Amino acid sequence: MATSSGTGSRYAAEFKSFVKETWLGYAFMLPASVLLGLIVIYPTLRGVHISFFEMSLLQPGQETFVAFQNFAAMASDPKFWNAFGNSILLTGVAVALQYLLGLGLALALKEKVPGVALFRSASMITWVLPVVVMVIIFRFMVQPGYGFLNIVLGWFNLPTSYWFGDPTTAFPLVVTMHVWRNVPFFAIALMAAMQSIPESLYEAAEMDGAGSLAKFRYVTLPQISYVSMIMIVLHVIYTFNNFDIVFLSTGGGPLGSTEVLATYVYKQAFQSYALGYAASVGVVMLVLLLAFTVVYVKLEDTE
Amino acid sequence: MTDDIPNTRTRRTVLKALGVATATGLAGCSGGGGSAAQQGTGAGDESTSGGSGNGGGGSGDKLIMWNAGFQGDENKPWKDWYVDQFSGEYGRSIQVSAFEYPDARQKFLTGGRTGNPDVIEGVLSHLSEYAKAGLIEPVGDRAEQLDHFDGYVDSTIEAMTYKGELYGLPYTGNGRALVYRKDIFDELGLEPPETAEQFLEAGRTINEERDDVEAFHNCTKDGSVRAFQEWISHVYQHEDRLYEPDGDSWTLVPDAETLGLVFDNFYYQVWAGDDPIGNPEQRGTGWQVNDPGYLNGQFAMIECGPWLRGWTSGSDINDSEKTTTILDEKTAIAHLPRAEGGSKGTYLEVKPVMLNANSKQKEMGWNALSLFTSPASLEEGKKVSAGDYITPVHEDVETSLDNENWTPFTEVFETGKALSKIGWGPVREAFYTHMQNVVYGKSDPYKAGEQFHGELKDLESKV
Repeated sequence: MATSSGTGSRYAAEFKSFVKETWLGYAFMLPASVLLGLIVIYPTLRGVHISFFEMSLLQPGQETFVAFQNFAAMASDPKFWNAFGNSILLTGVAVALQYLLGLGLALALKEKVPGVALFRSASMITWVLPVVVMVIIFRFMVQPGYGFLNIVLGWFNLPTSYWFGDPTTAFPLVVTMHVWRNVPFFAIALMAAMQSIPESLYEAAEMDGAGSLAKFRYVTLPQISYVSMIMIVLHVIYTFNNFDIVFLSTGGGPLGSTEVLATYVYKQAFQSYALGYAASVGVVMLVLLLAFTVVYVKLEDTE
Repeated sequence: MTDDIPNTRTRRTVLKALGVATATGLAGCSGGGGSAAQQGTGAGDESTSGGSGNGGGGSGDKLIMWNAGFQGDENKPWKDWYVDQFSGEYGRSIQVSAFEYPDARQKFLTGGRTGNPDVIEGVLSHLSEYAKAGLIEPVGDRAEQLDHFDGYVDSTIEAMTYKGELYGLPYTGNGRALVYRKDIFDELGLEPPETAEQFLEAGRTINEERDDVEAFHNCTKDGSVRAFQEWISHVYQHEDRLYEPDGDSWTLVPDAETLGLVFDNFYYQVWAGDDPIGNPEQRGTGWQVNDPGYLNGQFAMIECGPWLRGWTSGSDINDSEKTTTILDEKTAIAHLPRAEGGSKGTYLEVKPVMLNANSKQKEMGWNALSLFTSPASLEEGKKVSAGDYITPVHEDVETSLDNENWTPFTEVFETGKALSKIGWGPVREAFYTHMQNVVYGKSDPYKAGEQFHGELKDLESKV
């Protein structure tokens, strides 16, 4: 008994001490946790909740439980699958190009050549430009008649068009805008990672007879893999969720050739008033992105 | 050691104090306006104190109006006049924000129940959406008390009436007409087209004879509100309504053939036929190409409202002098050409100003609404934007018409038909898909009309 009582009081004392020592920490976490709960967790849970209901934007107070009907409707909705395919394609192509071009630009910016500081600053212009300005610039460039691109094509007697209005070129243009915008950000992040690689690793590789390509393959790439992972995950999420670039440039057209899930969700919610269906598409996007992030991070950890 | 203990305690004490202060502050934030009200009065049920103090949340003291009519530097004198006039008459300040329509619509549909803004301006399709959502207040009783109420054009008041209730007051209105280059028509011996056949024939002649101008352009961009308005103008040449009330539901009026006919004559033949009169390179463009294109001399015909009349400068205009000449001397107006079986008719655009049903200051909101739509305010608007007042919505406001070539707009306005009071979102979405299929030659116009008709039928109970 005495032993049991002694153990109990020891646990009580330890618990008291633990609480005494850590309550301040919890107190500091509380505001952030409450804010996070209000701003992130509640809307997310609410979105998931709505996806199981039929709800109109015009009468949001009237909701009917439909279980998985919204998800079933999605499976047989060709517009959803078109947007789904476009989102995957856009994300895959844009992020791959951003990474490759960003890596190339990072290698160039890393070199100590005259004027590189100015070049580094200038290369960030596309990234700091507001999206709406970027879209206006692109739209202006491809205008029939007086757009820069069409003027240049006209000089060479090549066909001109309103390229955003052409179903075959609108999607590549959207990809181009994503790439144009984000390559500098990739480059700066990768360059920073490259600059933190100890010179001794390159010297050791040289002593082992490694050439430039081998040094890049066996020293640079592994050393920047963590930053690469972060950048790729962030940009996959950004590109997959991106709404403004597509909406401002093409509105999802022509003929749905640039429709992505983000614009499709918007149209379902704000044009068709189908809040429940829009939420269910949002849930699918959330699940896909979570799955991608978890798998990618696990793979990176394994390596 | 002895020195360390007091230092640690002091740091902990400071941190504790900061933690408590943060928690208290956060609790205060989450308490919102009600909490502020309670603090002010010491009682839990004094919501009016919150309203009269600064913690009222939502509207507070300042009245809020969202109004796209005040957009742009050119409208600033009108906006300044209005704000001064309001504070002078009612001793209250008003905050006016100039939102784009899509932004205002989205924000109001999602956040209008907070009571903010108190007054909102929009287009007719917004009025029916807001009324269905219970977001706007009927204003008929208040409006009848106004001295100038009887002066509004009847059709504009009817356009704002939903289920027997008046939901807004108009401030500007127009009809869509064929705006064409009279000089080119005269030079080629062409008459303004009345039928679709004449229209297409005139377009083909212009394209054959003139290299410096394209015969016609209309809006075909996915999601373009103008594209929808142009299309429904042609539907209104065949039917008075797209849907008519049928008990608690709606019935689609035009048949599939009519929808196909409109697609064929004004989209397929224009963009995708064997001899298109539009430039296929410009498919998928909206008003940003349509209006400046005409003003810069690129197009011989467009479908448009009278706002073009005063548009002679700005970033879209290449040569202000040339544009002025085009508008003053080379432009004429005609009713829109009609497909077989159609008669004169067009989309009646009337812009309503509405009162938020959840406003905490409805009386003052009504004052703001009625002042903005008063003849005195419209006269101020006319000074800065004459093109919008060629067909004024109130009899006390004289037309800004100063050129006889533009006179037909008055007659066109009289043939205008207001939108049915349905939720137009799903109809618009279906339209864009089929319209683009026709424009890009992916679908036969009559087949598209049939499919579109089927989708519109399905929407009868949903809109």
